[in-house]
Amino acid sequence: MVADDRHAKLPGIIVFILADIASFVLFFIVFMAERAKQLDVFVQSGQHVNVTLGLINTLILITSGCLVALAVPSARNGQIILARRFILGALAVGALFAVIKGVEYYQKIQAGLLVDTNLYFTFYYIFTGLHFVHYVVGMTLLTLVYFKIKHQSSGHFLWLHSGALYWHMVDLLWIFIFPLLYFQGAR
Amino acid sequence: MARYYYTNAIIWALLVIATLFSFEAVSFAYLHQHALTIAMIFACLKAHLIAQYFMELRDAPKPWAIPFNALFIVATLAIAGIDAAAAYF
Amino acid sequence: MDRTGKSNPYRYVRFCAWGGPILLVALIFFWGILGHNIPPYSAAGNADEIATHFREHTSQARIGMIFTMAFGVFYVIWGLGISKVMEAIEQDNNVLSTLQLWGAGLTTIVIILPASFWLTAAFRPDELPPQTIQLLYDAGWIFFDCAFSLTMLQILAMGVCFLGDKRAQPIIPHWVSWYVIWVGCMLPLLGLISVFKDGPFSRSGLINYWIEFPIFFLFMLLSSIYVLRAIPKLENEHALAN
Repeated sequence: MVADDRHAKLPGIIVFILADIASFVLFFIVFMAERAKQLDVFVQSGQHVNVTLGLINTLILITSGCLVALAVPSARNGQIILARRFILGALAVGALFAVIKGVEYYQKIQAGLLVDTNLYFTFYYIFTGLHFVHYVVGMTLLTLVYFKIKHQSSGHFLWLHSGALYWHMVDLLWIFIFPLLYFQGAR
Repeated sequence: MARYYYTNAIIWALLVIATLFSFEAVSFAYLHQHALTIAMIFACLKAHLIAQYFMELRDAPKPWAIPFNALFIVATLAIAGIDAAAAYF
Repeated sequence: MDRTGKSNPYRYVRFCAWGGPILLVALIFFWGILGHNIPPYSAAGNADEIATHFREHTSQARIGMIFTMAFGVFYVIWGLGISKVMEAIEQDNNVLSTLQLWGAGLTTIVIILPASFWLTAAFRPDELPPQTIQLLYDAGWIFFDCAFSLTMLQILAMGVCFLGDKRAQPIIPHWVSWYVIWVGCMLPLLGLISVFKDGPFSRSGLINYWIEFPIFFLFMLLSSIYVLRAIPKLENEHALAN
């Protein structure tokens, strides 16, 4: 069963994704402008974030995104069992992101670095927090898709395609947040 | 499917290499002051690969790739530009 | 008769839909200009600044806030107009249009209640200590921005319903629905004004004022335009069905 081909119209969620990335780009510019006013504070604070954990989380999201990117063509070729396996894999790898994020937040709170410590940490918690909300929505969507496509009900491919695009957005946002927040200390 | 396994494996490898390389670039002492800019350029390249190949925007009937890539470039230029301005003034 | 069982289901709906643009103009003039809310006083400023404003511009502040309260009701009227269009899209039941109407009705309170705080500040500003005026001003803003969930309910119910339109040519274009959903998702940031006194996330800051308010006003304008355009299409459908 060929549900769709790769040159077909993209789901409407693409407008939302574009608007969402655009608002994050705007937040990044605000962050940079505020950073320029107190460069020393930002650079010093940036030395307290765990770059290794951020790096691992980047690799996790890239891998998870790659698996989701394989689920879409599988379903398009009618290989639903294969598509579900890829989604399950993406969910399993993606779940590690939350574990590492939890460790990271725990370390920050233990070290007394809180949202009101200084403006850098305010941005740190807001950016990573907003991203985490996106992540939770994405994981929920993928879980829903995993069950929805099982019976190949009407619109199952639209759900899978929309969920996959959303998941790539979570990946894209992190790819920009990571250097912005974590590569401050190197100066 | 074989074509997708092949393409995605290459893109995945490129993304991992770009991530590790930007991480390494930051550790080199003489690149320190440009660390953020270098990391943003790598981020922009990674975002481009994800949009083109994982999101399949290069195959989309409408040129959706243009606004996406434009956003990545705007973000990178703005961040690098403000960083340079903050360092010199 | 269509499935609503009514002979003229779109009577008054056009008026309701015009409630949005009417409220928008009234808000910009009475709340924005007369109420001195473009932009509001920063939460980082001192109490005297706000007290002086209310003492020197008492009448202006009173007129601004009385009319803001008077026009606030148009939000729920507008919400009913949207609900009627949503009902023509809903297939299974009326849950989303009902949630939207409740969200719009409760958002009316979000316009009226803070205005009453600001009106209270303008009631006897010469007798009140500056800190009390500041307290009323802050309380108004905190309710105005932090009650975002009520408006978010309206907006998300609306966006999800419009996206579910099964017509070949959707009554409301999908890009409008996705814009609406995006605005709904941006609203929770407003909650941050309760934490920040200055900077981009404060009540007069770049993100929580200069971005949030224009995108919200654009949401009101866009949805009014597309709801008004939807009404003749639905009247046609209704006429054809009979």
